[in-house]
Order: sequence, then C-alpha cells, then structure tokens
Amino acid sequence: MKETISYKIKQLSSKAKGSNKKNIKVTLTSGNTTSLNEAIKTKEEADVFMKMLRSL
Amino acid sequence: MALNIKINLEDCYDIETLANDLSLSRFNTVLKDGSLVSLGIQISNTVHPHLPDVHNLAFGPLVDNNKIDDKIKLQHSDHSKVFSTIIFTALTFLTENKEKYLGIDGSNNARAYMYYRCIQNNFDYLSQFFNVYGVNYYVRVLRKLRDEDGGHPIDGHDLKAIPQKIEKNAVISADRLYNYFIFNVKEE
Repeated sequence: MKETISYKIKQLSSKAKGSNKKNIKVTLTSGNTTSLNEAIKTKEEADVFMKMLRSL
Repeated sequence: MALNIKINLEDCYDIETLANDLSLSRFNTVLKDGSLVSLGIQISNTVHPHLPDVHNLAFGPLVDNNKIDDKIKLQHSDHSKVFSTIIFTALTFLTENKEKYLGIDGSNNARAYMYYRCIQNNFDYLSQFFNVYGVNYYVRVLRKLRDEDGGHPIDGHDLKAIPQKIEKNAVISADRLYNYFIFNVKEE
C-alpha cells in the first residue's frame, strides 16, 4: 500500500479512537434492511454463506 | 447517474469521525449548485442478526444527527471525490478490522449498475487494497404438480445466497447483476 495512504489511514483511525464515542444509533430512511436479510434467514444458512465467502 | 467515477484515495474530502470504532463519520460534499451537504457514512453490524462479521455500509445526508437519508439523489460536483472519501473510510475500518467484511446493497437496479461499473472501471486500483465479491441470490425451482403445467413453479422463500469473486472485465447483463457487493481488506 502506498505510504501516503497508509499514513492517512493511521491518522483517521487515531482520530476516530480519540473521538471517544461509540454505539451511536443511526437509522436509515430506507428502513435499515438489506436484501441479504431476505436471502439468509437462519444461523445455519449464515454459517454456510460465511464458509463460502472465506474460501474464495 | 455518475458512471465515470475514478477512485483516488489520495484525493478525499476531510472526514470527521463521530464514533471511535468508525461506525459513523461524515464529510461535506459540494453540490453542482455550489451548496454544501453533510454526508454521513454508517458502518453497521446490526443489520443482519446471523452475520456479525459482515457490516453494512450506507451513506447519505445526515438528518438530525441520527438519520441517514440513503435514498436521496444528489448532484455532486465531484462524484469521484465523494466515492473516494467513502471508500477511504471503508478501507480505514477494514484495516482496523481485518477479519470483517463490508457489504453494500445495490438497493435498486440503477445503483447496483453504478456500483458494478465503478468497481470494474477501478478494478486494478481497488484490487490493490480489497478483495471484491458479488453475491447472487438463487431461488428454488419446484417440481411441477401436473405435467400439463407450463414452467416450473418457484419457491420465493427458498433462497440461497452465493458469493463469488468479481473478475476484471466480466460482462453481466442488467438482469443478472449481483444483488449485494462485499469487500474485505487484502492481506499485505
């Protein structure tokens, strides 16, 4: 990775950590759903999906 | 719809972080009429109950500090800089969380096509940093109950989500575009 980009990533990470805030609740006007929810409904399906994804 | 987006992670807007885990940040974009709009970037892991390692990336104008309008269409003066800023935020999150994945939903056909074109037009550049996957949904084809029935019925509730690596220059017709896009950070 280019040094300038790597440096900027570290800067932004450090800035975020310094913000000292977490668990901010933000909703989406679309209703906060993804189509993935409709395709993967159970823990078993999710496990199979993640196994496939990690194998790629 | 901007289709000629050129990603350059060294040319981004200034990002203001609003959460220490990068789950919320914002930046000001300039619209074509010269006005400024504050865009929020949300990285959420609460979207899917069974996929804690797949976070959803959403962005749009931040309304009342607690709502993102992710459906609005804006005329940005520099679409490339807007998307570069969003992708830079995603890369920072993934660099800090190497075991995680970020997903983005092509919420309608136009957006899915724009994301796909953006990925393809910047494939070599993005591939330096990310692995990029597309997810297709397949529906179960049922047996016909009677021989004289026309096509096979389908079960819209029996879906399978199959991820695959997006290949450079792969041509996909609009009706076969990926339903969901996923990124993770490439190991150096």
